[in-house]
Amino acid sequence: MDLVANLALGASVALSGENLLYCLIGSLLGTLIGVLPGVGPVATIAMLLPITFTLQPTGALIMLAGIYYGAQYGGSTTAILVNLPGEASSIVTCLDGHAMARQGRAGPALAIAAIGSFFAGCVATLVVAVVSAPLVSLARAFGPAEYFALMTLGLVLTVVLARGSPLKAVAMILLGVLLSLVGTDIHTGAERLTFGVKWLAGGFDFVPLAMGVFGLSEIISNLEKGEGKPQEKLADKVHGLMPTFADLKDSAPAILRGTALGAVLGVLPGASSMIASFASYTLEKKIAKDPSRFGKGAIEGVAGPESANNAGAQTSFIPMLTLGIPSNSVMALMIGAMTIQGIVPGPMVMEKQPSLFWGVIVSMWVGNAMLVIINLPLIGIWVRLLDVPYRLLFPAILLLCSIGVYSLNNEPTQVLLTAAAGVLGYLFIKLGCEPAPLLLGFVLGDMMEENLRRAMQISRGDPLAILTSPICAVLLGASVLLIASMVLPSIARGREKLVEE
Amino acid sequence: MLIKSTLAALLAGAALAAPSFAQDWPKRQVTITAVTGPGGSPDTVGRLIASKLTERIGKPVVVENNTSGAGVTGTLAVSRSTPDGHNIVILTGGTPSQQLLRPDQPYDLRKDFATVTTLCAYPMVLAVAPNSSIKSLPDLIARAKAAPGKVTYTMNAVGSLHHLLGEWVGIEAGVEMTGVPYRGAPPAFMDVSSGRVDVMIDTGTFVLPQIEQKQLRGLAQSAPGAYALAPGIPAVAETLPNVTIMSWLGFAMAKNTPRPVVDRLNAEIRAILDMDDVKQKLAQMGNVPMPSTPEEMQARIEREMAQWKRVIDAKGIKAE
Repeated sequence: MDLVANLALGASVALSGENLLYCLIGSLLGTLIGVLPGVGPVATIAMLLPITFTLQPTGALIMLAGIYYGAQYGGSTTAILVNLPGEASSIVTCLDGHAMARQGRAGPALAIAAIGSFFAGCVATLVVAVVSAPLVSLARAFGPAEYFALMTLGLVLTVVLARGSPLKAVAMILLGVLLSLVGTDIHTGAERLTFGVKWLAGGFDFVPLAMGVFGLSEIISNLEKGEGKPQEKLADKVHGLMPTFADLKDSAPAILRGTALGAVLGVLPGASSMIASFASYTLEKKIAKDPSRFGKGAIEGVAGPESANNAGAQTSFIPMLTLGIPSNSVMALMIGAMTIQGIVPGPMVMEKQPSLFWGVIVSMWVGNAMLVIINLPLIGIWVRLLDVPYRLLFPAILLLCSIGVYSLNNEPTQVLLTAAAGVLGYLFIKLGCEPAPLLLGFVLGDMMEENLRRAMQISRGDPLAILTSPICAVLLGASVLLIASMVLPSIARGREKLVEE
Repeated sequence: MLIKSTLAALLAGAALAAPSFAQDWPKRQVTITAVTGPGGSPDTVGRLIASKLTERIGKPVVVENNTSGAGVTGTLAVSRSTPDGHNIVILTGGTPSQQLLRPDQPYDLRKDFATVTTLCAYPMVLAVAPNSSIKSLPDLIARAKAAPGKVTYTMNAVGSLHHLLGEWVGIEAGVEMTGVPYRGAPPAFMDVSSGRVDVMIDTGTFVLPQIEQKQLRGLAQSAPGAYALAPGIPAVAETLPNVTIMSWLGFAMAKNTPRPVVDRLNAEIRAILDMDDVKQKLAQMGNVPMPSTPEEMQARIEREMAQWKRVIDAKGIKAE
């Protein structure tokens, strides 16, 4: 069979000594930058780009890919340990992952994240190898109208995600959408909601906002609770580094479902690996026997989303490998690295450079295996981090955050913005409002608006064009059903009350 | 390391009381600011040149990305930096029209910079899906004439080169087409290749590889004549003789940078752009090298501003 021959070719490339080394360097470096808050794969790959000019193209791509998925692994570590989402896709991991860490179960949380990611990575690599072509036609079927519908469903899912009052969640989503609209509107060129402040013309960045409302606000409220005093630690008592059999049994179905969701959604360019991670969280919460456990350290709430975002990270290579178009800024950099090596990305890569194409694919599997081997023993060390007295830990976190945020744009304003977001986040904690819906609204809001306006422009203002597309109809229908499932029970309850009275 | 380089920068700043000349440039790290994110054309070309420049001048040359304020913040910072040749900004073919559309931006492109040299150039390309019924640029114009406003094309934000070229073609051909804005080429490509939007107008650096892979079909490119890297694609000017535009990248520093420093950097860049491997890498990215004198770059900016002013006035394009 062709596939076997191709994979064998890939294995011979990926398992050569030199490429194994690049793969190891890439995954290690990725894990490291993933763990450091604020330093993301985009900046790292950009800095390494000139070095890759002199490498073999295959080795260079293997290393860059390693950095990318390695960072996904590392990112969940900081999310779980100190509640800092380095990337949009680890927001969801913060919810239950950090709750587990506070209960002294950081070890199992980290382990299940690694195991889930590994499983998802293996499956998704196979998906990339076998069904790239049909998945690309799915990506092609998504136009502005379909993206608008997907974003709508995303926002509705966000409400379901909220732990407390749905009304507060809606308010937070709307606030997030508002924040995302700050900056230059591409349809008219107008600067909106900037109040004449020039550095706002490009809008807010995700990282300062996420670090502020999640990480910094957490630090402020920990200090308020007295965790800054000597002897105080982040976790009550660390018990067990590895997940128990019961943990594994709870997680396995979540990992399977997360992988499937992530593999499909990852193909769509844009915010899809993030949508995948919280779609998975919502799904797990909806079908759980006891949804109230979520947000308080449910292991499925870590296993599902972590698998989903890793599967999505792998399948987001599909548009790049088959069409030559990037699905996110990391892919854009990798395409830059390819063209500078004289390889034109696109459908011909598979024919003209089979050893590169299959070598990179097999290396993804190799890299995922390496990551598990690297990360499982590291868990012991990471968990010990929670034993560090908080008065020493928090200044270190603050410092790393500041450096990371500053390095995004080499702009001091970003650090101030992070501080302001931290105060805002603290206010939210006091008011009992959750930051996750705010951030998801922020990520989805402007994309939803842009796609809606684009869709209307293409259909020349005919709203029916949006409703008649089958994909839109399904996505919007699902949104309506979800809203109904939230609203109707409370209406019914209200009516019962009326009857009783 | 951060502290060290900050200290070094402070010390170097203190030592700058004396006027600086070419022989004592560079004193320290040279920073090139790219106002696009990593992976964009200015960033990639900037890093390629920075790595060569580091070898030649013996001091580190680094590229910093600053996308804050839609690029205004980074450009402003360079225009206000000490004029000693250690801070460079990469201007692009999109910068002149931005000056026209945003007269309130905190610098004047014509007055507040010392131009050094242009680096490279590439045309804009009009392309359609391989199975599109639009056969050629004249065919496109005929269709737009028959159904005013019905033909759609993908563009970047309002006032981008994509947009201005689309409108310019419209003015010269006497037709009306609708521009649909996208953030970047990839989503625009998806909508054109699946037939939702009729025409893609984008940079040669993105479109030409797609044409080579038969994922798009080229209608026309905006170079003054045949473009060396796309010999099979006719020039827009063959149909509409006035319409030629090359997008470009170029280095500029703060105004009042001593002329010897500008000339030294100009000579270094000229030598780098003449290296075989640099030429080859630029070609692989769809660019041709285009070194110039500082005056030629200044004149190019003024010429393009005059040219875009006509398009902007004729179509009443505003950023509002």
